[in-house]
Amino acid sequence: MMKLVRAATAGLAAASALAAGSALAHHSTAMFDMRKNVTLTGTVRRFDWQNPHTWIVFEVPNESGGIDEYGIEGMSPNYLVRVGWNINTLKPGDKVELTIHPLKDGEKGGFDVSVKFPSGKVMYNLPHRP
Amino acid sequence: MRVGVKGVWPTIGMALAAAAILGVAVVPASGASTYRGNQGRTWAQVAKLPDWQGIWQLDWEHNLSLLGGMSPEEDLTPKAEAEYTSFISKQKFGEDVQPQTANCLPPGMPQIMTQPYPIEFLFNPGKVVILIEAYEQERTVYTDGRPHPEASTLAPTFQGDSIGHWDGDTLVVDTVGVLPDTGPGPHTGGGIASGVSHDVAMRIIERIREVDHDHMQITRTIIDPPVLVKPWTVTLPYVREKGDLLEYVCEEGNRDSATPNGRPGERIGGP
Repeated sequence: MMKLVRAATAGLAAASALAAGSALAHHSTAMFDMRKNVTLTGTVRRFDWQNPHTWIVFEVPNESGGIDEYGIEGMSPNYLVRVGWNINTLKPGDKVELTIHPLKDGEKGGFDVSVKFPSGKVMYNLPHRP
Repeated sequence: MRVGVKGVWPTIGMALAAAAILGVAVVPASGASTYRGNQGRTWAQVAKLPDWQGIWQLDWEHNLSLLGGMSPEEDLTPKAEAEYTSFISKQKFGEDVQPQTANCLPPGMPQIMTQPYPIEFLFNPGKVVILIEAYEQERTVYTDGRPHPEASTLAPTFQGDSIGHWDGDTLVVDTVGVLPDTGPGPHTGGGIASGVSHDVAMRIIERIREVDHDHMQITRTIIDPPVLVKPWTVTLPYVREKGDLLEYVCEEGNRDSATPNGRPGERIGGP
């Protein structure tokens, strides 16, 4: 899994710069650490397929036996539908690995980089070059 | 607050110079134009215009280096340079990091044409309509020979007033009357460089043509003497995108509002 994350990081270094300058024209990415990737394993509670950004409410088990809720922003439906996503790509109850650029302020949230499904399939959210 | 343009369009002389640079017919300041060739003013003429059907996306993949070339920072006037420097230094203190597009105000010209969403051209007699998916914007380019309104009576708008003519298979568009401060540059700020507002008398000339079935090109010249020491020309490549334009209602699920001084207005973290 870590190997995957590293590979994704390398491929996304340029892509993130691209996204910051273009794909995220709606707002600045200053609140996210665009150079850092964090992978969370958990359960989708909600997937909002809405402009200007998709939104995932993600439940991640924590060390004290509870659940942390993360708010994760993603690319717009208009962008994602053109790279193979649709409104059913994520559904409540789906158990997935989410790689995000975390919020700089330490809050539980970030920007969606990619999703890895139990089958091993990875769907990219930010522009990705294989 | 909208402040009108005083007097006549003060950049017309510069526009003429740019027209000469571009090798195009002179863009008339007023009165009926006398362009030769098919101007698409009747349905029969429209049927003979180039076929631009489909949707077109700025080709970021092909032109990553263009990101660095999207601001003419070396051609800024001292006044604009000072605005740029001040903007960058404020960002270090967390201000001006969020543009007003974060509140779903649309970017204005010219940056509305370089959004990460496609555009579509519709031809009608006497006009070309440019539909822009991002922020659901629309530009009407009048090709019926009308001049721009008198500067003293034209209230600036986000996308300005556009008149155009056909130079063979190239649509030449002349835009004035754009609201200053109408959206982000590469990050935030004006349409010419980050943090730099263009002048209310800015003039933009676009030469739009289809290179081949899958490629379109817009050569854009911005004339803005208070901001740019010389006209700034950049050629923007567009590629054919599959499918159709989609709805984009920014207000639907916006969680990224910005305060007036450009700080994030909402808490992003958590559910």
